[in-house]
Amino acid sequence: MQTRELLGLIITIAALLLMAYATLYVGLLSRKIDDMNAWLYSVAWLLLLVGPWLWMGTVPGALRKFVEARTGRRLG
Amino acid sequence: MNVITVLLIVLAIYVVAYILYGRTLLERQVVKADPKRLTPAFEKFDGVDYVPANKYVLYGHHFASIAGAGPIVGPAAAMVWGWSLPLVWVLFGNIFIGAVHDYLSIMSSVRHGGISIMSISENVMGRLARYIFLAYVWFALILVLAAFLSVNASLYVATPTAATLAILYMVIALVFGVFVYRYGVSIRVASLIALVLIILAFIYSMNVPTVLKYGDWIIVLALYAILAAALPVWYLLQPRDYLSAYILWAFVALAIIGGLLAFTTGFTLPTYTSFAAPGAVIGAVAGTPPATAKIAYFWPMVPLVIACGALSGFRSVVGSGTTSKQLSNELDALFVGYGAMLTEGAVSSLAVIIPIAVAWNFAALEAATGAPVAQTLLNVANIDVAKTPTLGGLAPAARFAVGYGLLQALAWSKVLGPQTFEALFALFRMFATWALTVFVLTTLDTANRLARFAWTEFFDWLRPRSEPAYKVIANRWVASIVAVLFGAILAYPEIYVPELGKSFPAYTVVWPAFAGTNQLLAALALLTGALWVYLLLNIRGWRALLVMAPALFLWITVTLALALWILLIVPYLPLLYKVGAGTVVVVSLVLDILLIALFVRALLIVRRAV
Repeated sequence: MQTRELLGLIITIAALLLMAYATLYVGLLSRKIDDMNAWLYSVAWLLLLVGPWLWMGTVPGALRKFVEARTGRRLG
Repeated sequence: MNVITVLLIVLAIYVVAYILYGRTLLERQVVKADPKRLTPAFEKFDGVDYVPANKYVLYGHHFASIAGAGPIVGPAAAMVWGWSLPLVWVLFGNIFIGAVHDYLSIMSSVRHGGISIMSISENVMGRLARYIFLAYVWFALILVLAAFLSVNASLYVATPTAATLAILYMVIALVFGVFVYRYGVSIRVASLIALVLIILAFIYSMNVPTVLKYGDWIIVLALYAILAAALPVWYLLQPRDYLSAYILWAFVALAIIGGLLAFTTGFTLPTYTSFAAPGAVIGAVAGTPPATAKIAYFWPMVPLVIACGALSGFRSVVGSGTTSKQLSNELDALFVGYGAMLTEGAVSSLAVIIPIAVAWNFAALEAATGAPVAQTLLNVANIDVAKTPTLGGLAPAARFAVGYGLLQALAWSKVLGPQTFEALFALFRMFATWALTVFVLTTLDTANRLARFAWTEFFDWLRPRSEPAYKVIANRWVASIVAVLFGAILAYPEIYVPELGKSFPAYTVVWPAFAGTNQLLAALALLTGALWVYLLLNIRGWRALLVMAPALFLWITVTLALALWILLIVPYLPLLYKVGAGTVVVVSLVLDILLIALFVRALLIVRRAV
């Protein structure tokens, strides 16, 4: 696993934990996400945008193959 | 006239327009779309912006990028002219101007490697036109970013449950995309799971608000806009917009079914009230003489009120920006461009104008249907019909939500029983509000992605001179950050306006000018498209005229409307607005005249050559 992917994996796990904490623990318990918890919820959302992208690379294999088949040339 | 007659006429017009004007004329005879020709999504595939998309995904994207408040608030406000004139403008503008403008923006961009309509103008009007156009659009997009940062933040402060839902919706879309693209899960199964999760998120969010201050939301949303605009389209944009399409279809389908069920109901709003409405509808400040004076003439002022429902310049930037880079087949462009614009018109006509026209006068509606309208409005929406006898007493967004809710409640209570009227009104009013807000966040990141494209294209002159400098300036993260930074600077601070005795976000000082500049952009984009058809596709005769005539009509209409706006409204605006919005409109008009001169010159050159 490359550094970028490892970093992405760590960010994804951290984001999921934060998201679960904010929605399932804070949200369900107090029926409101505010103050620091609202920040955690927002940060978890932003991290979730970045984490899986770093972890899984940029172009899915299926998409790459589809473009290669249509254009008849290999992508670099 | 009753609901079903108007509804069927509108639907028939859309079907005929799509087949005859869209497919037969534009696709087959003018553009001559070819399914075998490779599109830029394949030719220039980069895995970030140039990525082929399924036509339903792209349809969702093209629609959702713009359809926030646009097709809803404008027509709701325009009901001051009665219901027939706004409906005619939506149908005419939609079919002959807006949808043509969208389709030609997409197709001209596709034939030019996915570049924007602004850059295409170089091929038909010269290099100067291109840079004027690019700068104009970039500044307009900064304004859009500022406005949508502010609108989003204000919305989340006012309705904190919407913030919870918006975030969860985004996460569901992201997970959906990863499972479909990365793990090859069938779209059908993934869609079903995603829709169930969205319903659960909706229920959860209604009970759990997320509370942050206005300024804090601006920071969070600015970071979101930077990230979302720089990430690959397949990762977030495509899956999210695909799911958004379901919400949209549900919204329009319910409007049609509601209209069919409530078929005997008549309209309580007059067909026609007056050709000149009070100036407040075109942005005159409350308390000033033009606000109540009858100076808002339906023509030429209507484009300043009804934008996206009929036509919108922002759509040309989307069409030739994000949409054209994802189109996988030239034949998809008709459904994506022409079709999405007709759908937007259907939202305006079927889900906004008809319901509001039905529910306009509460007492008349109660008398005609026997439904407990007054009591329901008091119980659910806290509206006292003694003080607010018509929908005209509500702000346009509320006018739409209440109108949509009442028509749906009338329709479905016929099936489920009259005792369900109040519960149905509460449910559909909430659904209408949600449908209004769900696309607002989408517009934010698409606007930033488009600002990034415009920025990159603007600096292409630097490339042959200094490749390293160009690489820094055109870097997608740099381009994303610059635009959002300017947008946030306009959205974050508040300015005190002494004449109104209140503070407003800084961008509002120039915002009143946006409606006009957006419509002016539509006129210029359509003129560019018409010139592209005439000069580069070599189309002549009545076919060329069918594209050219609406373009010139729109240009005359919007230019005249803006000139009148400067004369009638600007002198009475507070000083800061006078300087801000007034300057923007004057500069826009100067650029407008310059571009029309370049347009005429291009036509004359061709005539001489022939």
